[in-house]
Amino acid sequence: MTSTWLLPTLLVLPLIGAVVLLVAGVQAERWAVWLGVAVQSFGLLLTLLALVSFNLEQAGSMHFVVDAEWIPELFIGFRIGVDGISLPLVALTSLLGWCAAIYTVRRVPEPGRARGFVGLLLLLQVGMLGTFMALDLILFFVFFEVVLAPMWFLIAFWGTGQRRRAANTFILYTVLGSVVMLVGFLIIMVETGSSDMVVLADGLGAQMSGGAQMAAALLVLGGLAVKTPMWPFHTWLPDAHTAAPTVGSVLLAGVLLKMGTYGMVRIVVPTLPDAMVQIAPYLAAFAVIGILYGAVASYGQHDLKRVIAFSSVGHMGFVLLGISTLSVVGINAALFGNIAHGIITGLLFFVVGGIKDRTGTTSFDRLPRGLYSSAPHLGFLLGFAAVASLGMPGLAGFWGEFLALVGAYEPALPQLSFYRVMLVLAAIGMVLAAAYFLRVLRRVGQGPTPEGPLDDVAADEWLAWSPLIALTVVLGVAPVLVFELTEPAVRVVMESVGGALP
Amino acid sequence: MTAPLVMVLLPAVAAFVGLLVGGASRPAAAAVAVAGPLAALVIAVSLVAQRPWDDPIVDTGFGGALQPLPSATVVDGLAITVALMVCTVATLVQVYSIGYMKHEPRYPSYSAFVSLFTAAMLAVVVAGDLVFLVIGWEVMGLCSYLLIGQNWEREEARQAAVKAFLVTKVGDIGFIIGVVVLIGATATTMIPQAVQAAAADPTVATVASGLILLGVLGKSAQFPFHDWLPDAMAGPSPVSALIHAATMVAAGVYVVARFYPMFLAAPGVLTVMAIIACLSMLGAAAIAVVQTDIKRVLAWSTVSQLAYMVAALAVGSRDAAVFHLLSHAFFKALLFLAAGAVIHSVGSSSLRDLGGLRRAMPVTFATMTIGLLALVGVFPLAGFFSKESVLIAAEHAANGDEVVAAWVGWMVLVVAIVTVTVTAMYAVRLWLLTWTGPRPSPAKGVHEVPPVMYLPLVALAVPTLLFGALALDADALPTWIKATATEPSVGAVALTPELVTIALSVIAVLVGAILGLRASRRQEPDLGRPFLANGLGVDTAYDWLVVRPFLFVVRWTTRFDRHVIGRAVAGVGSGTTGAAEQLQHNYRGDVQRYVSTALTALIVAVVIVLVTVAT
Repeated sequence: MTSTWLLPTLLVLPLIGAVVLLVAGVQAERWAVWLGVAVQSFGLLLTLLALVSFNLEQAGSMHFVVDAEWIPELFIGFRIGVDGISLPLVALTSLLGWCAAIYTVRRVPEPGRARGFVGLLLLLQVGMLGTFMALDLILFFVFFEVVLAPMWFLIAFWGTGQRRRAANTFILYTVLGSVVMLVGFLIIMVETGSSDMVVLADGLGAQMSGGAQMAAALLVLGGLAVKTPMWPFHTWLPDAHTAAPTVGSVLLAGVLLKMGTYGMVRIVVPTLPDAMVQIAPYLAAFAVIGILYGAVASYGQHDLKRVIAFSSVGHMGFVLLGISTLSVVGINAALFGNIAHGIITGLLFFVVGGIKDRTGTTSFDRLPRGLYSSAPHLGFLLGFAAVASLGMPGLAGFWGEFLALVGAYEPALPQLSFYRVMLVLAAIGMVLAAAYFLRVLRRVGQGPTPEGPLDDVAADEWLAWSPLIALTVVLGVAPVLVFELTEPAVRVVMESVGGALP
Repeated sequence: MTAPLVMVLLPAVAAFVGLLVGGASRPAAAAVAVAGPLAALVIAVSLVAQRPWDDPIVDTGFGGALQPLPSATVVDGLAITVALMVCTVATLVQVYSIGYMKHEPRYPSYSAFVSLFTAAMLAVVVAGDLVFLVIGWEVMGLCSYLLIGQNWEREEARQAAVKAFLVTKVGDIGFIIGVVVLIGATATTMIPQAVQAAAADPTVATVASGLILLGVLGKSAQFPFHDWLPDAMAGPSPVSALIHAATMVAAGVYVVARFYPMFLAAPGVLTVMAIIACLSMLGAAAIAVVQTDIKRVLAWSTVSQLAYMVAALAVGSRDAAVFHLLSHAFFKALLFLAAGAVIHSVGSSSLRDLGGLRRAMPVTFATMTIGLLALVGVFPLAGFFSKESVLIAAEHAANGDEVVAAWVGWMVLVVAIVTVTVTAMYAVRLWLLTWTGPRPSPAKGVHEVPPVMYLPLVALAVPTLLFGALALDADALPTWIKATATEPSVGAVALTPELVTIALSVIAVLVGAILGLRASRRQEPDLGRPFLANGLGVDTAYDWLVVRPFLFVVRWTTRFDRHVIGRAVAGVGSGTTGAAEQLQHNYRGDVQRYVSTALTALIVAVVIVLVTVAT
């Protein structure tokens, strides 16, 4: 368990790839996509190696840790490592990065320029992976920010429609969020004299005074809530998704949103337990509003991508609800929900991107009907992903939602009846989710005579999508594959919270 | 992995293989489709060899030291009996479908969905784990949606599929929460233990039973969730036979039977069940009388017959409910397949287009007649005995021998007997309008269906004729379906008919038959027709109470999101860019923007206040 080279290599590899593409000349346009595939494949292999060599018995402690001096004057260190909470997210990121690279080989979006596109994807990968590995508050912040610039470029240059506006809203909003979060981090650091996330989580943070905890928690949660996005901070999401190129949407929904909820479990819950206990019921309320609001708003959309974007608000609401219960079941549910949403929504955006490639639109007003017969395989995948997303038991989307409800039945907090009301409202949200997805299938998949066949799913699309399809089923029937990682780690987190619970 | 789990998985594997090979070879798809349920049937039969059921076969499924995968199974007499029925009907339906769906281009996916459905239904039947049960329960609903929407080119089918899914899903809110409550309150996901623990605590029993009942009403199409079932007839007839008559709709009843000790500990819930069952029983039968479509008559009849089972459960007799569940499965599957044969041959399901088919379709005629006689409850067919057992159970309750109040027993008894009359009425009308009258012109080419379709009819006619004999030995079925180890005390009533109820129901049948004769003379009887044909106005009620308010909320949420929250964000954005022009614009007083920002803030504030107050 001392292979310290593993995580740095995972980070440095895409960084090198990005730099190479930056300095390489125009001739790199031809092999840029292949470099992307090579780097991401190697990264995926390394991640698999990490999964294999990860000690399940010790899933609660950090593995592959690197702890180097960075800015000792400010007690900031370059600390990275993974445990059962972060490893699944690292794996998800590597996988979606690989899928995106494969998909990009033949499908660099307009206006081309593969070199820049792939370079930005690789840079994005560095930021995403780093966020899940960071064990230092400032390092976490840095990686959190590294993600923004590439995503802005991806939306603003390779997007469609009102891409500039969407990209600007995205960056302004999330930068504002991270600034707020940074202030929160600074309060923690000033109060405790440490930025080491492991030490902070292990009781140091809990020693902070109640007022300081509350201030820090509100600020950090505020920043993370924008990213998640928690209602009412969600409005950047639909615009960003609608404008973003396919792989941009996939990574945005599949990975970026998880950075918010991951930060809550990793930092806020164990480091600021007293404040978290106070805030949790409010978080639950906003989560449930998000579930219902996301579902209702989703039903009102006339664009495929916007439907899925609002559905993400609802799904992340379930993740937030799980966290807000502060129970072992609830937080495990949240972590599972993160992974499941990443896989399923990633697949959904891929499929919708495929539809857009073929029909030139995602608007209900212009989309041809009868996809089930004009492109049966694509139609099947749309149906499959939609059914998975609406939480069908037996597929991955079910467990996060169901166990969030179980957690809400018995939260680790005294507000029992309040949480049970939330439980019922959230369960109603599950039906509403079925309503808008069936509307999509009825509008796009079914319908009278289709206007002629479309190209069905191509080989490279199958290759890029099949891991997501497989995992949707595998995690649906064997959720234990994730829970055996997260469960011990969550128990460690809950030890820190234990003292704060009434 | 043990036999029960293999039994569940084989049809699922068949579904997967069928999808893979179906595109290339249609006969291969058909072979796989039939092999799946047939193999499951073989396993079910082999499991029977392990009775008597003093100890049910409990298996932890894919166990593990850590959180095991929720696939524990419990096979007792109840489970294996229903599993045998499911496998039998599913096999016959798959065989029949080979002929019925001969010209259907999407046959491979169709037969795969039927196979997947079979697996899900078997999962519900043998589930020993609450979460496993939920998986089977919901996957059944999905397959039902997919198969109702089989002909999705037609608006009617699309509409019916969505309606079926959403209406049952509304009930499932209750079901899911009920399961969550059970898991939370009993700290186990194993059904026998959870049920036992819940039965010992009246509060938990009442809450959990009440919530699970909602899901049951949805799946078993009982008032006020009954409205999706008649519309579901937009699906192919074999699907109606398997899913919307014999199995899935009966799954609701089965689950109550599975959880029965818990329901017995909640007499209030049983009383509600009885009232709902009475409403559904008589109401649906009355509606069936005025239907003009052969399949819709049968669909309403299914609602009514399921209500008999729910009523039996409500008055304390699980045995009677399961008895009727089994006999109904055989005769109603037979009726739907026979109706499908008629539709296949004539090309229409409207009663106006039918008539005089007796000589053209002798096998279908004979088998459907047997099915209708069983439905009406004529001696000695299966339906007679099973319906009698429900009446006897109600009579016992009326005598005050059961957990529910005596008036509940009286109510069920009276309504059930009146419903026997109405059942005879619509059955006779259906029979007369389909088989008698002027013969269709030879030009129409009406002919008997091929053997692949009529042999399943004959096969189903056998249990329809003979199954009732079980009741002759008072202890046979109760002993068979009892599960001593899992369910300590479940009220048992002898299922043998009694003279009083026989006399009453014979009179009821005769009266109903005469009325049916009269009703068939008029193509459109005028018994409060619009109200009845409209499913007791529930559709309209849904529209006004659920659909319209929902769309209203959707409209306003969408506007709110675009104009209020969205603008607030745009305000943040433009403020941050600090464009002087924008600032000036703001200072000039963009009232709407101020208002919108304020509104969002207000909502946030209200939430905070509410939560604070609530906690």
